[in-house]
Amino acid sequence: MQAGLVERAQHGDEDAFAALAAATVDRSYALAYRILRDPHRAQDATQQAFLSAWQNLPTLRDPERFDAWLRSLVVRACYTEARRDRRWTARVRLIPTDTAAVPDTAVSLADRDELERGFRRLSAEQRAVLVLHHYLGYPLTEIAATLGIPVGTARSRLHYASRQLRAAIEADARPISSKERTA
Amino acid sequence: MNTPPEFEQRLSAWLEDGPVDAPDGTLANILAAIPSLSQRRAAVRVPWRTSSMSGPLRALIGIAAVVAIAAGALFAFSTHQPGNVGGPPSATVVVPAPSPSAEPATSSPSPSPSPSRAPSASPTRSPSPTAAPTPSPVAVVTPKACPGGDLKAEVMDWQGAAGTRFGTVRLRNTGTGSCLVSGTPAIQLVDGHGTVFLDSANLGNPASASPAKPLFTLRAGGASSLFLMAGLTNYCGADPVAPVRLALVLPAGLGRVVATAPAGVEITMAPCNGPNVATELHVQVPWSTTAP
Repeated sequence: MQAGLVERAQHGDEDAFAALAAATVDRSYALAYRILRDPHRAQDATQQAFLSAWQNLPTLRDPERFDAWLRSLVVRACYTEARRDRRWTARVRLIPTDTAAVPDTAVSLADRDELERGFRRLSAEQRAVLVLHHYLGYPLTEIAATLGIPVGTARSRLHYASRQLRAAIEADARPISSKERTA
Repeated sequence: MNTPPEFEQRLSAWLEDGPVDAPDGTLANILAAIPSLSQRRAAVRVPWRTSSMSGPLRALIGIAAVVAIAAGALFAFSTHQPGNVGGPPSATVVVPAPSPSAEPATSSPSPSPSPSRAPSASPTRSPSPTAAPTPSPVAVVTPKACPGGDLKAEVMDWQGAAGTRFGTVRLRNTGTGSCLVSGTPAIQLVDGHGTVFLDSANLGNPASASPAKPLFTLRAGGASSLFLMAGLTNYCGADPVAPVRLALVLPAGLGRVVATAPAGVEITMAPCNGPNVATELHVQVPWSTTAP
């Protein structure tokens, strides 16, 4: 059914594209958010990816590959968004209640904080590979296809991203440990 | 991979947390921008030759191609000789090179809506196996910011609590096309004679284009609504001539909308807490797709 919508959208059917967008916008945003860790940037990247998808849809050879193709556009839009020189300004925002009601899973608050800080130190490319592997559960071949890189490159990027994240977390923890020892 | 499984589990669990739904307005923004975007045409692939080509024919075509290229080169060379008097004057045509950083054309006075930005070139050089989805800079025309004349505002309720009055205002687009709303309006209270007797702009709360985000799309014909909450405290002026109405002054000079109120909704003044206490009239809860 989706392939049919893709084919119609490839021929300029806006309603078909609207149906595709409605079906995929949430998971695209979820992916962008996890790479960028900022709701507004994630929203921008998502919107940009869909506009790009609409424009480039006629060049997609295999309609069955729409999901993978869209994912690659989202990741690329995240790269662009991450590189955008933007000042981080404090904004007053209403926090949606459903976010606050997220149940505390296996990750403690301290863990989250550690991971958040460590993750923010990674490049967008490193974040993307971690998210594709650990959030979407993709194997290396699928990551390579999504990112348009050789499998070997995907493997090493995943390896170094994980290592760098752990190193960042350990580096954060080190001063606290030394203080504790001297206390 | 030598990453400890425990670390991977922590990372996966942490990534699982977080939003799974796109914020309100994301899809609307996308769909509002689509009609103004043209699609790229798919490349037509012409085979180099047909399989039925014979050997001599291939050789002939090759020779013809070489001759044509040589003739073309000779012609081009001869027309650029300095002594070529009488030839047509050469005109220099400057074609701007496509740049990934090119800014798209946007329809002003839209307050920089995010869908108007041009897709940027991909930083990944290797092509994706599913054809080339590399975004390219393209002029994008997005819906315009909503002018006051296209908007209809309605005070849905007006309540009082703890010396404060606050009310919910619903905004709809009565125009013929989708338009965009962002920023914070100024609020005026207008008496029965149509005179503005209280203006938030004079109380330190003028209309402001900030925050530029979220940026909402209001569909035409009142098909979608936005809501904000206005608040009033400490009014020590004279009793205004009834009925009091509320008006919104839009940022960026987009105009003013006087809100209607359904039967039973009366805008009353907040009690005076003392002349030395500042009167406040302001947007208490900014634009949102749901009523506060």
